[in-house]
Amino acid sequence: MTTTSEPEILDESPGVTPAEHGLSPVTNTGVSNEKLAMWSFLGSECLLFGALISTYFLYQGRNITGPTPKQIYDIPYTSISSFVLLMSSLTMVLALAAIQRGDHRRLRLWLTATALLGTVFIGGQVYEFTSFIHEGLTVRTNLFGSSFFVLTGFHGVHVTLGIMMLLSLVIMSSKGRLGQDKAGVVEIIGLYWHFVDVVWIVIFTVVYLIPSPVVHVTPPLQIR
Amino acid sequence: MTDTPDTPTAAGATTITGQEAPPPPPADPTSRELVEEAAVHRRPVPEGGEHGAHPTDALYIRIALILAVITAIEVAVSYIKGLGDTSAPLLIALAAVKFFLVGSYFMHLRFDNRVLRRLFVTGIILALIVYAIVFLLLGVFSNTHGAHV
Repeated sequence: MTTTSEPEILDESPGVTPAEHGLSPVTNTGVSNEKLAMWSFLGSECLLFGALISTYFLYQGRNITGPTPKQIYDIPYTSISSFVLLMSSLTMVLALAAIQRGDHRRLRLWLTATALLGTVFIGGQVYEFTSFIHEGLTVRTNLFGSSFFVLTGFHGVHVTLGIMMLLSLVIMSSKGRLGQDKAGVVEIIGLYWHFVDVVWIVIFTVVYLIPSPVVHVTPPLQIR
Repeated sequence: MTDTPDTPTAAGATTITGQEAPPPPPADPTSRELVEEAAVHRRPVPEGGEHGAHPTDALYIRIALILAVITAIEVAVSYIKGLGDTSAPLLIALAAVKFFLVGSYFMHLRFDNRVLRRLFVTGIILALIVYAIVFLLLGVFSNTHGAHV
């Protein structure tokens, strides 16, 4: 008896197959394993950054010594940094659109622009950290310093890794090793970059813009 | 590798009876099918038919402009003293809109396979539930140092 049943196609969305994107062949979910792995990784990153943001929330307004957020934040400066990172998401998505069209010159242009904007953001963060340290806030000064530097430092490390991956893509493209069939690789690195941007959207609002509440801290128990 | 009757077979693969299975229909829809699908699901018609189920560059630029405007509004809201306690929920709502726009359009969750959307949303919801429980346990919402853990 011959098997005549039609193969079931579970792909729910239109578009290019994973194989055409230079990723693994068609899977029964319709999604390449690499892309699924990146989304799973990003899902787990939500928990990591969720923990760091929660810690910041938890310690907010419970400082016994200064400096406090209100004393040292420079909102206009950080707003420009946020704008720069937001625009890097635009250049990243334009790079992906360029490789999907087979336009390698624009691909390199947009990837370089994205890496440059990311570098500007990191440069801004380094300057901010330095000025905070000069104003007396270090990771060991108070609860605010600990949670702030760990949260924004982790984010900065993610951005730095993203810049390194973007520059790797530019080099690969320059050497002719990033053809149109490898658009999926650019898409996966783009997902990481957009995620870093999305995390900053939350950090910018929660850490910088929302005013810190004043918490009435119960004095520690006296031990005789 | 052996095939079972309910396992999809690749084109030209041999079945357990030794006869060649009929080739499966193409997995890639045609440009016309993409346009029809986009109409059914009210999605933007993919640029370039079957090679690129993503929006156009012009739409990306519009989204970026909207994000820039929302960021400017956020900064303005943070400076308005008269808003009082309403400023925090307003800022969170604006951040959520930005999060949604980047996720939907730049990360293509609006256009990609639903599996990816579910995976990411599950991670976010799980994180929100877990940390909401932590906040409740540690008394963050009560505005006192009410940790009894």
